[in-house]
Amino acid sequence: MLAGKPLEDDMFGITYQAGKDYDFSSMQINGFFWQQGGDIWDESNQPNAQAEGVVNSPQNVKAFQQYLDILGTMHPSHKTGGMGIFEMQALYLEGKIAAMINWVGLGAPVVDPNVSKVVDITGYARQPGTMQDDGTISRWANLGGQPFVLTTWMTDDEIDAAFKIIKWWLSYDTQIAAVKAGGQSCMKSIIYSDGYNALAPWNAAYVASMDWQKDVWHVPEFFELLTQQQEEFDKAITGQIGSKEALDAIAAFQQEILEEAGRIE
Amino acid sequence: MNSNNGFIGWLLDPKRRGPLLIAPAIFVLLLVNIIPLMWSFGLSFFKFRANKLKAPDFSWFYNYEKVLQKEKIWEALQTTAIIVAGSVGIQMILGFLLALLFAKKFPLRRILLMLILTPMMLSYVAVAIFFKLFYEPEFGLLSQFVQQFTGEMYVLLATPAGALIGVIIADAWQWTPFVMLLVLAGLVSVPKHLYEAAEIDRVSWWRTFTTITFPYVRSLLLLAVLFRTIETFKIFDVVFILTNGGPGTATETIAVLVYRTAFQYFRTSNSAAMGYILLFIVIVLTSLYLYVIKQRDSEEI
Amino acid sequence: MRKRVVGEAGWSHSAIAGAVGFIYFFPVLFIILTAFRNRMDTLATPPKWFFSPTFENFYHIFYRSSSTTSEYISTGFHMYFFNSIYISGMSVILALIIGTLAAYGFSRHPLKGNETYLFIILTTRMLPPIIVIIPIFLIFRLTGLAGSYTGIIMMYTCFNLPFSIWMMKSFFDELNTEIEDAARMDGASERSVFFGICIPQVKAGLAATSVFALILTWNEFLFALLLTNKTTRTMPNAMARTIGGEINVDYGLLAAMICLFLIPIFFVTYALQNQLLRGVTFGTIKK
Repeated sequence: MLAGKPLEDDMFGITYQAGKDYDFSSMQINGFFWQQGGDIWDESNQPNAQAEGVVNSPQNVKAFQQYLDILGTMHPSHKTGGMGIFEMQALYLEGKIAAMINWVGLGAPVVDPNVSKVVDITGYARQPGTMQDDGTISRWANLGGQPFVLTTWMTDDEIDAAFKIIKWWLSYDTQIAAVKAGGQSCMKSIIYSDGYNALAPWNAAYVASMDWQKDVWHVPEFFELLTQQQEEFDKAITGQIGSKEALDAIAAFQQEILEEAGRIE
Repeated sequence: MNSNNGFIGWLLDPKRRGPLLIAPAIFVLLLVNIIPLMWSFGLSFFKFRANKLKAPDFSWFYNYEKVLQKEKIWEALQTTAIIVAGSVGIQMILGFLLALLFAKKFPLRRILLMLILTPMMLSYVAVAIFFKLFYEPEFGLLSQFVQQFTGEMYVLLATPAGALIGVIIADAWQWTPFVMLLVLAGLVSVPKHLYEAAEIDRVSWWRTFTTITFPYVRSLLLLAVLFRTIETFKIFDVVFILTNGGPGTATETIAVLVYRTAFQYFRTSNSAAMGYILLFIVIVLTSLYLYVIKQRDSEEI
Repeated sequence: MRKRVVGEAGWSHSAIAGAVGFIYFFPVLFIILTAFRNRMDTLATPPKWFFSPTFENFYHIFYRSSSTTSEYISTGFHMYFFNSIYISGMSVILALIIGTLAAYGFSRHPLKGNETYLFIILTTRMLPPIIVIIPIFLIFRLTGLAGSYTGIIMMYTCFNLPFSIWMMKSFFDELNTEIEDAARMDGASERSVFFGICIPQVKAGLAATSVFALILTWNEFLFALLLTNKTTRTMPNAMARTIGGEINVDYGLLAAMICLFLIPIFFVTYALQNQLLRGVTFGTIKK
């Protein structure tokens, strides 16, 4: 039964990222860590912040276990370790799942009647949170987005031109035009401006969620750390190892890599 | 035609004909293949990572040691071996049977042959993506078919065994036509009068097969197996798209492992070492294979 | 009782072959159907076998709507198509010529290190391309070959050489040399022996080699990705762009591309079938 009416078809409830590819599972699991009081390696506290003991702390293990438990109630697709952002979207557009926690950038097809069966029955909200001991709700989630990347071997002319492009991009008109075309802005002056929420059905939820964003590491070892982490998470998601085992392996690996790079002492 | 004097004569001299004929081939291969191979072979003796600006350190066999000690490469080799054995085995049997089916002339033969050859003409990416769709638990044909009987979605790629089977089927489906075509080329070259004579003599089907058919087909079948094995060892695209090496690392073939090491972990020289270990293994296997063939050949004479 | 001709069969055989062929072809049929339907129908459960076909996907191959205006801009696809045909065609022809000559050399004028050479040629096919991709890319960059037709054609010719050499050598080895020796004693030149006697007999080998070489280079992706630029880009590269973006795989568009891309190869293979099926017709006494 759903909203008082019996369901015609197989339908599953909530779905979130659980994919091995790229950063899919990490993006969701990090949210679980933070909401339950745990943390990832704190890069702002180099070289004192450790990975061992932090990444596999009891809170993190508990949080990860909760993530895995909820997975068990989801659509069986996750068992292959391939429940990435696109698979979820495909399921959602076809009306096979009731709700998904996904990037807002994948919102546009949802309102396109050519590909979406749920155009007129979709609503948007902030990501769910965890009730804390003191009664408040923590809604921490991993920040998403696309960066500008400036390389170190550009000529002065190229650097000038790059700056001009960034200034143009961050101007009000360009940002609003980008949002109208389906993007999002990261600038407070713009997202809190009048009329922003009206530009797209999900903007209100997006703006509200901005208070609760944290990010992953920004070090050159990023991709190695991420790849290994994804691998271990994937093994746990597909039921080959347990939550503590996975986190222990991740913590050990991160400790080693970061020590080698001189970021941990 | 008598040899002319001078340079052309020297060039066209019968003694030099062999080398002359093979020279262009060797030249092209040298340029485009051997030199890069030497470069990455050399790299495997240095410590180098593509995401750091440090110059490579010469470190002898450091990379090889590190690679051989870690379990990962042995697992990957085992996985690769399973996939190769499974896929090539199916290709051989199925390919041979299909070739037998098409060896005779019958109406519509040309068109039906094309139907079977088509899978081979598709790109890896195409095959991988659509097989992924077939195996998909919600939208895929396989799952929906099974659902008719069990009422539940079937997730083939959820278990290590299932994932391996999924990959093997996709690969074998695509390349069986290759084996079939080679065997067919051999089958049709059997002279008809031999078959006619056998029929007159009332020779049994099996004996006809082993004494007349098989010898003509043998060398081509062996060639097909050789090439398919070498190619399947390198399998990457289908595995990567279908399962991404998963679940976990269950379908992480050696090529996938090398890719991840080189482009996700940025251990560039490490991956070069891995590659050469693979090359070494394939060389050993191929030599063994060719040796056995030669033995059988000389036994027959 | 009707006398049955050896090597021929009737319609009952066709029926069996037809059933087998259809089953084997089924996934391809699925792809073809997908090219003609929109995404919702493709992902429909239970599967929709009857649907109203649309040519939308094929249209989108050549004209894509841009995101800022509602006009359609040409995607330049015809260029990619032409590039694929040109690059694959040239490299197959080159590999065939160089390879057949080399195979003849290995077969009829064996050198001392014959087996070693052949083996080394074989080993160049054994490494996963990932490993050599970096040095090759760098070399191509340095010599200015990156993005040119010459560079990628050379690369593909090199891919096809091992197979064509081994294949053609196998066919040459099977031939009966008595006919050739007889012709030579009659005073025929090497050239006429080669072209007049040997080549006609190995047509099946030439056909098979061409088909496989063509398929290999037609669908090659990795090297085409790295060694071609906008003007020399090939189809597989263009196909890869249908993946990712907002909606993961655009199955319809990809299927339509696959169908179009199949057509040239299909025709070449069909045309070469005759040669493939004829086999060796001369000199049938096996040594």
